[in-house]
Amino acid sequence: MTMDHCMKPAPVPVKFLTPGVIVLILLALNGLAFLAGRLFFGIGAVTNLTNQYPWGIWIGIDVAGGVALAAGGFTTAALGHVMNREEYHAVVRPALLTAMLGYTFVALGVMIDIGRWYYIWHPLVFWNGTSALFEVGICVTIYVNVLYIEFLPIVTERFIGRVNLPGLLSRFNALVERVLRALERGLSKTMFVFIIAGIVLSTLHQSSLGTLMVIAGPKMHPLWQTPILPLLFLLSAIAVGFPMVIVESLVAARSFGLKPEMQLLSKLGAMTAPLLGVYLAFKIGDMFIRETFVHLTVVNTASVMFTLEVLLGVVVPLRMFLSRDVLKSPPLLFVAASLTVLGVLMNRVNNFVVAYTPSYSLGSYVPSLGEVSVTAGFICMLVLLYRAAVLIFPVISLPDRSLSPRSRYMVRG
Amino acid sequence: MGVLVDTTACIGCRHCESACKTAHDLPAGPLESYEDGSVFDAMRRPDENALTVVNRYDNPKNANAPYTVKVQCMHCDHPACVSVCIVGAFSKMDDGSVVWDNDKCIGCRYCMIACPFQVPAFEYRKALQPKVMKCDFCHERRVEGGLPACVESCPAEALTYGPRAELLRVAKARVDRSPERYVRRVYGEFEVGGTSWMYLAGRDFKDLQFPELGRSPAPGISESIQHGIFAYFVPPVALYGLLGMLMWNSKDDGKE
Repeated sequence: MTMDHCMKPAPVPVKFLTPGVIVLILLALNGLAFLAGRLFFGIGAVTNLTNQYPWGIWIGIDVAGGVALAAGGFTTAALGHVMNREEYHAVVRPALLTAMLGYTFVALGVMIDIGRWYYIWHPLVFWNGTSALFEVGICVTIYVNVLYIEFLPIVTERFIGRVNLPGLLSRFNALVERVLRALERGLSKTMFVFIIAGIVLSTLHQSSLGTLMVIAGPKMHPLWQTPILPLLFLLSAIAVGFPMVIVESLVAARSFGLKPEMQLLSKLGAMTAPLLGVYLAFKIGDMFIRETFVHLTVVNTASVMFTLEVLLGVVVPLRMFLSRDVLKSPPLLFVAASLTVLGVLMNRVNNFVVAYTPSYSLGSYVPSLGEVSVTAGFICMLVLLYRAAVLIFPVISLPDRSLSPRSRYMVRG
Repeated sequence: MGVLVDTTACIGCRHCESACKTAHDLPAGPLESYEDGSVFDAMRRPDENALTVVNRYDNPKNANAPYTVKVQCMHCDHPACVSVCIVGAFSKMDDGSVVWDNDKCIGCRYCMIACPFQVPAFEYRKALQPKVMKCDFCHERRVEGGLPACVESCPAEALTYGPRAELLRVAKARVDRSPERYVRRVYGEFEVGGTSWMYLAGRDFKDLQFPELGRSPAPGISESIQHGIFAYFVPPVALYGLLGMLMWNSKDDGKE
């Protein structure tokens, strides 16, 4: 019997408010203030976007980065459900929650970046099949819904047998209970449809996100501009899925005072090495086939960012994941996983912001205080919602009280 | 239809700028204000307040007769904006114009990322209904039988309006007649698959800040990637089936 057998997803029994949480709330409010400025006075009032630089960090970080870093949702679903590796089930739920919240904020990020946020539904009605953005939009829209459906069983599990509505509403207790049970029965039989759909939709839009910049052609720096961008985007998304799960799991363990599930996490780390290796091979291969390494001989923003992205974001963590000592050590594993996450994030920002060099540039683009505030605010809101969700719903696996009575973690309910 | 811009005939009076603003309900100001030569000191680009602008460049053959170049949407034959627009708000019309639909646009600005000539502009300062602004080749005026406002206003006959094939013949005839006056190239004949607006110039187009573009249409690569991934939905459906089979096979493996 390993420890895993007495681990069971349960609401984390800690208080919501901590000093750190208050800082997050303040940063979130700061972001909301700038967001109000954007809604009342237009995008130009809070961003440094111009006719030369139409996309900034809201697209680079909030949307492209957000989609990539939420990839843990579909990679763990593939591992846990399609390969049906029972031992990984403990990371499927946290990754699912991250993906669900991540994509929700991607949608919000898109909504505030487009000039007419109230027309966000237009792509559902006005179709354009030649547009990669249309494909990304449709896939992400469906996928957000799939993620919420995949999360529903966690909600029914939490409330079945515990429906206790306050006051007058209590007369509906039995009805809600029946609905939840019907939902659970229906979902358990059909869930495989949604799980596979989620994986297919992810491979489609993760790659099409890369297709987006292909048409920018010579406006994009040759170090990044390549017809295999969609493949590179897909491979890097697959590679960053497990590292993102590792980072979250270690942060959550620290934050909630739990023992890190190293047995599981080091296996995920070991699996990341070949995934990163494949990505690196295509990235370097592409560089040599298109002979773009010549651009690395000059020192400028592009060459420095590209070098950092590949060296610190891919090569170093790849080497680390290959080391047994790293896989066994929580701090080192955390560093390796964080570098991978930052590397992929940097890649998305590089592709959408740094690499974009318009032919007629009347200045350069540096994100404004408003853009940084809104992006930071969104990230803080996401973390706050994540914390609230794991306190309410059985997402994180905790030692089961019934099986390990000596545990110091009490499980509620 | 298209327009041939002869930059060697252009006198830089900027009457086209004024006429364009008037025709598109943009604040135009008095015509005399366009005589101010200081605007030529810096390169300008079309923006949300001016759908066409004229820039000035030195003439190495004659310092007293600088070249002036009118810039506006090129109205590509295979427009990138039409291909990429998430809601299909851009259309290439039979009369050559590439027009934008106010009712569909969501303001994502992908057209601005995609445009090889970097033309569309955005009303960043508007909280509600910001528009993507670019030359529409006076589509509506022409439907009613009129000429594009700039062509009509040009006193130097630098702008010739007509069927594209005809314009190409005219352009090549001019170059043949005065080879010392022109470089032997019609910009827009082949660039990104051809454009409705085309240019003649007295010096290398690169020196006049025209982008160096290939002959294949801008949407070519990304559309073939798109169509490859979505070939009759076969790849996504095949992936779905493959994953389903994998899942079915592993159904009992992991159970303890």
